[in-house]
Amino acid sequence: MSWQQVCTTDDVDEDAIEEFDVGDITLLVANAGGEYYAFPPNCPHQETPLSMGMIEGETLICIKHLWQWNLRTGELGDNAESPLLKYEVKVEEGAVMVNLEKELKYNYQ
Amino acid sequence: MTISDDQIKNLIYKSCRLLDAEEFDDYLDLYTEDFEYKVTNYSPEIKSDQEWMDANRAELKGLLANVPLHFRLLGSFMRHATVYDIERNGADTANALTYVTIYYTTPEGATSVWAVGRYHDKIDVSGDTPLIADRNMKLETREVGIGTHLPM
Amino acid sequence: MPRTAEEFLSPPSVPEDCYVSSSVYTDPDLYAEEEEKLLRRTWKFVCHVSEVPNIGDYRTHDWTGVPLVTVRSPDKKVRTFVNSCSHRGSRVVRYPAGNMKHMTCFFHLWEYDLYGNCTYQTRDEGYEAHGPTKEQAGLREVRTDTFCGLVFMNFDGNAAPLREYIGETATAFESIFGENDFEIFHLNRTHMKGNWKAWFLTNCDFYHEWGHQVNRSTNLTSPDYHDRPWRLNHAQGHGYTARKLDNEPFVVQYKNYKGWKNRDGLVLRGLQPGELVLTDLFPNTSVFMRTTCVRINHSTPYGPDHTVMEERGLGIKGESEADRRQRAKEFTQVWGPYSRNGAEDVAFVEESHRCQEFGANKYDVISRNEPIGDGLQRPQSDAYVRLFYDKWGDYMGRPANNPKNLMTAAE
Repeated sequence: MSWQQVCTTDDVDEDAIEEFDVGDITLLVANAGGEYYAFPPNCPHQETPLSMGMIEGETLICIKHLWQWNLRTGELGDNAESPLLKYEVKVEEGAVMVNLEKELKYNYQ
Repeated sequence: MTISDDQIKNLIYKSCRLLDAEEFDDYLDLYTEDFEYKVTNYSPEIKSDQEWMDANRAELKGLLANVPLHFRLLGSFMRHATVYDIERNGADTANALTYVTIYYTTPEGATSVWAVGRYHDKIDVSGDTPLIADRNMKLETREVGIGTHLPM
Repeated sequence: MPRTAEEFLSPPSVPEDCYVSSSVYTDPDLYAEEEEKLLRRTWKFVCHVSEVPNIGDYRTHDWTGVPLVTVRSPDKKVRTFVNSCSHRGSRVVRYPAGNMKHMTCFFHLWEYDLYGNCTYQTRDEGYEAHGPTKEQAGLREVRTDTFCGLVFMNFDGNAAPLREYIGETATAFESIFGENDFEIFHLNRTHMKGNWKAWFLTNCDFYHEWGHQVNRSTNLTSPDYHDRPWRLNHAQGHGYTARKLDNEPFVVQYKNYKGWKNRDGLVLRGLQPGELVLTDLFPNTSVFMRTTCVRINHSTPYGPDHTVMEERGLGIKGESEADRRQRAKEFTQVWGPYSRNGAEDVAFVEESHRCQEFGANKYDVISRNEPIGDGLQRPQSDAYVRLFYDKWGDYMGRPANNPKNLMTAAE
């Protein structure tokens, strides 16, 4: 698999995070101020589902220990101690396309 | 099509079973869009009725979505309900009175009575299937130990 | 690295004021001493004045095992009496609240007026020979005073007056209580298997907010969460957190919890939209102001491991039904037996107690230090908890980190 349509822009409200399955891959799509981002479903810290997290501006916040990342730049924000893995995303005529050539996974201990 | 008393009873009993099973999406489907849900009781200390939970659809949906993230009472609830009375208010609504006993079972298997109370339901009977338009769980039990996030 | 048995039994490697022996939560002898030296010598919250607005209105309650009745007397002053008949000791008033013209014991029908005078002894000729006379048989009156509509009592006639006791900590709530005409709309009581101090200190321990989903999403995500300093009253053992150093309010983002909205309406006078102010009065009364409503939290201990938490909600007297409903709704979103936080705090205390009770946890660590400048500490510092135990040590004459060894030595 490479570029796949995961959803449409209407499927994810502004400042919301939704979960999708594409084949065997589960991923999250976030709408941060009209920009769409895709990433694995769980926090790199303790596997907490990021679908229950929050979007504040460009920032993704995990709701457990409040690890935060800038979705656009990838910069680590408050509390975060390791980076968020992100999929490449492009929007084409309302379709949210994600590059799923390789499933992104964390090496949980 | 007229909604029968048995359909109303089944709706109320189903609401108990779905809450016991924590099947929250299906539970919310038993309510009208603009329902109001309350847990209330009478306090002899302040000599008045009081509300301990008061939620509309958005609030209850948000709460139930958050339940897995909360630090919560372990174990399970079992609701035993008996519909005592159904009274029609014209063609579109009915009032139902249901006595409810809620049992709590710890993860270790010990069971006790958690609370007793009465559902005062307003049922929307205008459609093909009945829906709960308003529910007031009026508690007799005011001492519930550590409490719970869940509707009763 | 896991600890060995020796390490486990040894005090933590932190300064002596930064840990507490778990025996302060579990030991019956220490609890008995607390009753005598601390709980009967400090001001105990009784109720809000709106619970006894009219002459004859009363509330019954207990303190250190003593049944009490607080009543508004005909001169409109609120008084407290030991709720025990001078004859054979039965409780005179048995219901939680109500209105009465006089107090009649159910047992032999002795009667007292609302000033505590014994006004009737059934077949009183039987007492002519040996007494007691009615004049000798009045109820025991307990010192009672009111501040900001909060009724307190104190068994100790020599204790400092209530206003002096509250001291500068009044800054946190005096103006807000002055600007709003409050009345009670919510009360719940919870019996918990845990110690009264553990309950109170959960209210004072902002670090525990990490355990609440509501606080993680609505408080801790605020960038200025840590900018509120603790304001400590070292003389009396109280503390509060209110405005930030720049005097701007700390605003809770209620909208971050799914299904909730920010608190922009029904804002109490003296507060800003979303503002949160917390006050802790030694030894166990907390006053919380969450934008639209007030919570008063207090507990009654019945032993080291049995505490009855009592929680009150205050709204505005005379407000419309719709406003009251909204205010009560916002109160019970966070507090009460079916709320988001209330159901969790009790469990925190009971879970800790479960490990303290039989020695699985020997010490409580209270070492968090988060300076914010000017000698002040940020909210998640343990500065207030340390002050509490310093004050506890003053009353008890023992340090909280090693109370039992001293007791053994003294014996």
